[in-house]
Amino acid sequence: MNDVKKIAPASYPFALFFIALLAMWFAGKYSQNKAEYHLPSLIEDSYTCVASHNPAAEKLTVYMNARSVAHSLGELLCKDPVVQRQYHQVQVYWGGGDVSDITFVGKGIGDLVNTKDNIVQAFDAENTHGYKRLASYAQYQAYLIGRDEKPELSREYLLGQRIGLLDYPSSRSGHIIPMHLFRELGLREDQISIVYSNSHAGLRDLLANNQVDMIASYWADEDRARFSENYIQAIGTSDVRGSSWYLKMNGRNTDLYCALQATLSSLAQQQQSTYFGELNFVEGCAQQLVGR
Amino acid sequence: MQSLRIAYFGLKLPAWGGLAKTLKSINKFHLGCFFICYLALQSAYFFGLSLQQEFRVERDILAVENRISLDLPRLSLPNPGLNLAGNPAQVRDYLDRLNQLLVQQQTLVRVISLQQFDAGDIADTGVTLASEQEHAHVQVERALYLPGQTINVVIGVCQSTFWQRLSIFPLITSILLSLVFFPYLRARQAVEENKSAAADNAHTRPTTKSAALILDLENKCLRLGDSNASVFLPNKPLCFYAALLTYCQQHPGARLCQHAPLPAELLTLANQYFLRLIALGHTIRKRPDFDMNLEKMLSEIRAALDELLMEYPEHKSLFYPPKALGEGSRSKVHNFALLHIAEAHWSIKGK
Repeated sequence: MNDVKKIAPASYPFALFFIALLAMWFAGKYSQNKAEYHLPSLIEDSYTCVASHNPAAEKLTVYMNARSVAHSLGELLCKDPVVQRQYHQVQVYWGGGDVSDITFVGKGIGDLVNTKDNIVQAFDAENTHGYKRLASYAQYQAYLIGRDEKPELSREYLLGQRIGLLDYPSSRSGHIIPMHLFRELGLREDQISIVYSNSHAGLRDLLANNQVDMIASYWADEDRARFSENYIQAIGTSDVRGSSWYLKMNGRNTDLYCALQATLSSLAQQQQSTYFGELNFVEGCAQQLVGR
Repeated sequence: MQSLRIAYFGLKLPAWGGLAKTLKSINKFHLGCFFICYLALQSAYFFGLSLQQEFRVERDILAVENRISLDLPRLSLPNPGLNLAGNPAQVRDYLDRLNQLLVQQQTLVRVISLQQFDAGDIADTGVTLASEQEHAHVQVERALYLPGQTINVVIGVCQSTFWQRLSIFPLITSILLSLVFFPYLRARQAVEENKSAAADNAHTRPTTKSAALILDLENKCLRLGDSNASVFLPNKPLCFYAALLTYCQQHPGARLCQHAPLPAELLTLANQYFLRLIALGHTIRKRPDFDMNLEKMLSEIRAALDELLMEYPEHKSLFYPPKALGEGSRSKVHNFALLHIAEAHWSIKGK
């Protein structure tokens, strides 16, 4: 007992006990893993590749709508000798609808853009920023596609029908042409029920799930698996031109113009989809029409 | 390895041999000490962990809200007012990638849904925490307020189980702490035992063995238990003292007064002891009258005790026939009875 007394006063056990309590408190507190409270951005909107190791050269900005195609295009462009000679890197953006279209085309940010003619016309981009058409995807027909019967183009038939349309107004087959038709037939928006979707694929899902009676879209060979070709009704007077590739021409950079045509042609040959597979070239270079 | 030292506490713990002895000597006080330590330390650990976890969960939730808020302009969420259909595939893909990120960063939260879009099961995305299924999920609903629109986010919080909140640290520390406390307990116990023993001595056995009074009738003397010192006492006082001791022991609280006749019982006892002395061959004289010369007899007894108890003055009160104090020996209130005498205090040899 005297030993204990010598080394410690009577309050020693209590002090020790409270120190231990405090230590356990902190042990519990710091037993947790250090967490990172800053979550990095998850959304990618572009693909970048290095074309050449010439830091003085510029960046080629490409804009298009389909994310799936953007990667292949970027890789092709980075391997192109003309692009390598003129540019340091290639950055391919894929868009998120009409707002990005307007930003890249209307402000002239994109060097090579894939957009619809009506957007280019709306901003007079050919005169404002010097955009020149390189190529256009194949023309196609707009249809009303029914599920169980062929739609009729009459006011009586369409009254009260559920019709699937695209929710972006720049789409011709999915928005402009059917809306035009309803107006011609004297159908107000409250006389039919319009169901919007974000994409042509989404429209097809709506139709397959019987959430709509018909949809306004194009007809593709792949659709035969789910729908009948007998139940489609062409709308609009003329064929609709697909979206086009425009190049912002500064001076007479014909090398680049032709190199890009060649690249787009090989891109078209890579594609599985009917739409991206058929590309019509405008003028100037050796090959005029590339089709699979 | 002879002794286990813990420099941090500055204490020397028992050596291994001593440790085994310590373990053997563990009693319920030690176990109680250990359990109290363990409970207190484990509670401290538990509360430290819980508080930190709540803090962490809240920060995780804020981080997720922040991320989603920043990404909202890029997410195709439906807005019926603007005829926007939304892109379920894109939103679900986003939520799945966000959840994968949350798993990678070992956060405690997962996004369950954003507006009407449910995130896929985390197991579907190929990144699964081993204990993910065992966690209870608590759903927390948060709202992000945009101009003209409210975005609802449902976040699942992984609750750790009871067992995950236990730790080996409190156990180890409470064992160490108990080992440190054991000597204190033992010291404390020793003090208490000493105290109670002392108390026992004071109340029931004021004379230790060494102080027990022995009346030796064979040698006609008074003796203390362990010492050889003895005091001779003449026949008459010896018999009277023996009778007095016996009488007072048998009649606690009796009053004996010099001016009142002595109780017959006391006189009988004195006579019996005298007969015993005759039997032992110490005297052949006739029995003395014990009623006579009482004062002289008591003086002789007191003188003998004074000599005997010279080294043990504290025992005097026990064996000493009280003297008259102040009131005068002739006073009627004076009582010379031995008030505290008990059987254990004395014995007679040769009875």
